[in-house]
Amino acid sequence: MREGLAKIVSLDETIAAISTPLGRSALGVVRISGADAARITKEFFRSSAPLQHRRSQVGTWVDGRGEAVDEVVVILGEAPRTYTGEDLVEITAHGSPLVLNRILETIRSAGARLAAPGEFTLRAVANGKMDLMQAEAVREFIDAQTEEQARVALRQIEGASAKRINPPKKELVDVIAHLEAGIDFAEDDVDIPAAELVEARIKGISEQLAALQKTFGFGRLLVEGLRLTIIGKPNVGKSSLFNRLLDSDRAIVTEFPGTTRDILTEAVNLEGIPLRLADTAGVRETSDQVERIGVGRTLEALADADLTLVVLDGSKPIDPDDRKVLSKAEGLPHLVVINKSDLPQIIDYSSSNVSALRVSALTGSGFQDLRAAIRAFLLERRTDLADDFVLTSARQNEALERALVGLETASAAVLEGVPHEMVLLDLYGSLAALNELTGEVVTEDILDRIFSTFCIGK
Amino acid sequence: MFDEEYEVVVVGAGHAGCEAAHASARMGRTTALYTMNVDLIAQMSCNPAIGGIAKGHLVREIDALGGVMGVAADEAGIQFRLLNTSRGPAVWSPRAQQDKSGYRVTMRHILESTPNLFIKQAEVIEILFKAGRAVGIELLDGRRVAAGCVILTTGTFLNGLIHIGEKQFPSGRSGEPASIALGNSIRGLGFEWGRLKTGTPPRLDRRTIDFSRFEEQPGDSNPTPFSFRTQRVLSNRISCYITHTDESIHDIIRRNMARSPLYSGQIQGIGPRYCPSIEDKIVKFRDKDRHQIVLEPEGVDTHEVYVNGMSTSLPIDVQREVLSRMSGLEAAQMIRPGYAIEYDFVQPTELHSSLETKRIGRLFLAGQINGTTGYEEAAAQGLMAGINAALTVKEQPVLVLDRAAAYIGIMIDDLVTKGTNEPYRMFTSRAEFRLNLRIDNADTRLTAIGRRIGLVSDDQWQGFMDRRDRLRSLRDRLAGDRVDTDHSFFTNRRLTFKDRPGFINLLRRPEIRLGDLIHEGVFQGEALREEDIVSIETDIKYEGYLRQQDREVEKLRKAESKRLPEDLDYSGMPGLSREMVEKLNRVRPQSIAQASRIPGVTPAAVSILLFHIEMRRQRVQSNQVV
Repeated sequence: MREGLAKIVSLDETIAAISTPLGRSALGVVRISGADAARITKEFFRSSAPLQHRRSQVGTWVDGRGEAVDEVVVILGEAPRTYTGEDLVEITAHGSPLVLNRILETIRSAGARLAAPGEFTLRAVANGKMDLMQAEAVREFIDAQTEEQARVALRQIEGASAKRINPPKKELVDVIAHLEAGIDFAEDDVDIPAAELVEARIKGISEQLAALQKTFGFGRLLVEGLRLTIIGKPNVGKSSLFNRLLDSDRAIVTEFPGTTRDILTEAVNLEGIPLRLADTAGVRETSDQVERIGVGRTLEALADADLTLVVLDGSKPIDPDDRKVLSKAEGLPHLVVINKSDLPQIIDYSSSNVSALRVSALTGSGFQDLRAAIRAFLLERRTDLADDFVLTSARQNEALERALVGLETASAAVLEGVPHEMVLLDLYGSLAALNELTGEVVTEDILDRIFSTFCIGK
Repeated sequence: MFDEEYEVVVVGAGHAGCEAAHASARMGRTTALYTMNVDLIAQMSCNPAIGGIAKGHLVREIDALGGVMGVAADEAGIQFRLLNTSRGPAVWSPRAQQDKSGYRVTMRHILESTPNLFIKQAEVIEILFKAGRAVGIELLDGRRVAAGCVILTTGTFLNGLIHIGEKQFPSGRSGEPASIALGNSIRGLGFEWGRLKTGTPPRLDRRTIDFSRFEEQPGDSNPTPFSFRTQRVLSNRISCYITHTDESIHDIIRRNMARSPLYSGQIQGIGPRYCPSIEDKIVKFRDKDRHQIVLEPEGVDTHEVYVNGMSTSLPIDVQREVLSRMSGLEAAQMIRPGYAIEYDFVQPTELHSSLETKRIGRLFLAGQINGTTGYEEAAAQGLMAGINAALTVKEQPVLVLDRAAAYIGIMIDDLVTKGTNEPYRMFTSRAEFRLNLRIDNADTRLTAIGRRIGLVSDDQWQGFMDRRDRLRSLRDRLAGDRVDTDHSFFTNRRLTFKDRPGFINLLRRPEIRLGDLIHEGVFQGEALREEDIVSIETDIKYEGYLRQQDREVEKLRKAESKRLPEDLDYSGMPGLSREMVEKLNRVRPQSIAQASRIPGVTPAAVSILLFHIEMRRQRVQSNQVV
């Protein structure tokens, strides 16, 4: 009956969640509610003035190593005069999912857990804050529950994650059953497996789960879209390339270098793969104040990208500006695209590790290869698992992470000769985490396993 | 209208009935204990042993609360073993072979010495009730007995049907009549009920057994008692004997399988998977070429020997043939054949956690009627039913032990929350807080509770407080003293230290045992008792794990404290699917925690319940303000 407690949302822990819809928008909000909200915020928020109740404060959000994550606006509400009736912190940052997730990650590392669906509303109710609009709260809460159920149901219909997680989970149940049988039926002749054997089996389970966890990155790409950034010095044809990929006239294209001053982003569907394109201002030493802002943003977008297209002009020789662009992309996943293949080719580009693609944004030649290359890049991230499994939510990823930690602790304990009734605590912890991903395995299932494996009873 | 009157009436004097009657009477209620045969009070219908893994935990808990099974089992025990000692102390569990007639005599003596308790021989044929409440019982001889509460502990007697091969006949236990009238009257009460099956092996005459062909299994050289109250040194008076079946025996059974009522379709009831008949073992575990058989003497004054592992419903001629092929049993004479028995049980989801039925107030059920198996499981329920009947008669709040307090609490919670489809037995793996629920701390967990409700005697209470003081002073000494690291104990083991650690830190190391430190003179403690050393050392060694569990316990208790009102209308609750409503209505959980344990109830459903009761609480509060 270990399974019961895991179903109950515990209202005295500090919780956090991204409270704007997933995907890119101009701004995003992360909320923290609970007794530790203020403490956690102080740990990562750097500002010139201290936080005050209901005052917005501008500052920098940093990670555990003190490195800046984003410029943010933070509002602290002190209990009980907040929506949830607890200390409530709202962090407004740039809308990039990457930034919001990193902020959430820092908060979780300091002891908060991910909020359950509807939990902010639930807490508001629990703390007597529902005098405003009770009916509204009920509807909101039920919606959150139903959505979550729908999501879970969908996942179950697809059966994808279950199909992948069930084999290692079954193996885990089997290991647990063997250890439990050794304890509960020591009087029957039940063999207790050797420590090395148990450890090897646990390790095998870990490896399978770790492989699944790797799919998280790919799953996120599928859900949020591949972030593709196009960079290059001015007038190499970035915007034309952008438009060609987009098949539209979204970006402004002129004869004059430096006319794209903002980052344009657009979602496109590239042969079934969602793509988020960012066209950037050209990277160039510049004295133009406006343009400099644009260049700063380009470098941000570069850091934020899953894949960068470095655009060169095939009709001109490589110059220092091109080299600078290339060096920015060094070490980041990128493709080199030589544009203007319709003109006489003068460029002399070679690189040992990245092969260049020749295209013409004007005529469209070479774009088939470019699209194929982008697609290939994405598919490479897929690992060698079958197409049908990907982890898509942070919650799933977090559950797998917990399962892995439990297995690691258990396998070390087994080798140290820690008694099995204690090793089992960690194994049950892992099982509980996996239960969140697929249907529940309950005590009775473990007993079933024991009785079908061992002949028990005198 | 009534011929006699008692505050509490207990029907059935098996292990559940004895504990129930004793507890109720000890708590000051006039109590009558009805049995069909006073000479068979506390009869052990199956194996001649009490305790075992997890079952020994139950006996310790019964004892800590002020029950009697542990005291009787120490008194009538003839061979004692502490099981699982190769593992951590959390799963150590005592077991003792019993002198069956000695156990009956001891228990009857205990009951007869209990004030307010009256033993009665009569057959009960009906429960009398009025306005949805039990008010008494009717006897076969026509008398009507009034009762404030009625506790039913009917064991295998309710419509009991024995099967031996092709033969079947109504019986409550070998050689005893079944309770047909009472059985039919209970079937008519509207409870969800079913049939379960259990079995027992043949008994042999020890004079016809060649023990030289068996492996002897002696008792422990230093016997561990069940009861915290047992002060005398226990001694072993018998050994058990181990052997195995072989393929030639399996062949005989396979050849005769069609004659086993288990496989001919004659038996409908479901038997326990962990106590399978020999024919079951051979069918379900084809690959296993041998099965363990243990010969257990049924007492010191009898030649009767129990053949553990040979439970069967095969015809008597097949039983005889099987035995004659076993090495050492070639000439064995059978005193009684093995048999299977089917009986009625009530689905335990019909019960509150107090063991009172939901349909009929003041009616309590305990033991096999609730779908359990085992003397210890029965006794533990009997104790709780007795306590709660005694409390209910006086309109006092009932006692419910939660899953973090005791194995008893786990068992009852499992039963009332999940129901059961096979005879339920206790296992340590059912306990999510296993490390906290040890035999060595059963008294710390429960004796104060037993004292509060008036079940723990002055003597037992004094003994408990003395032990508590001993543990406290030992802990203080360990916390205060520093280790002499130059002692030969350490130099011999090549253990070096940067500074002189305290004893508590030293004992955190798995390889350092307090017993060894005392033995080699590193720590002065010759006068310390073994059970005290175990308690202290376990708390120190497993502190990290125990703390981890404590956090979970806290979470559980918080969720238990979120009560779900009796009149909650699940079908009118937005967001709950029909399936959830059905599951919740069947059990009608008393708390959020219990709701979460109902199989198939989803986290989302639990959140909706939580949301609902919080809304309700707010509404009540704001109404009060107005």
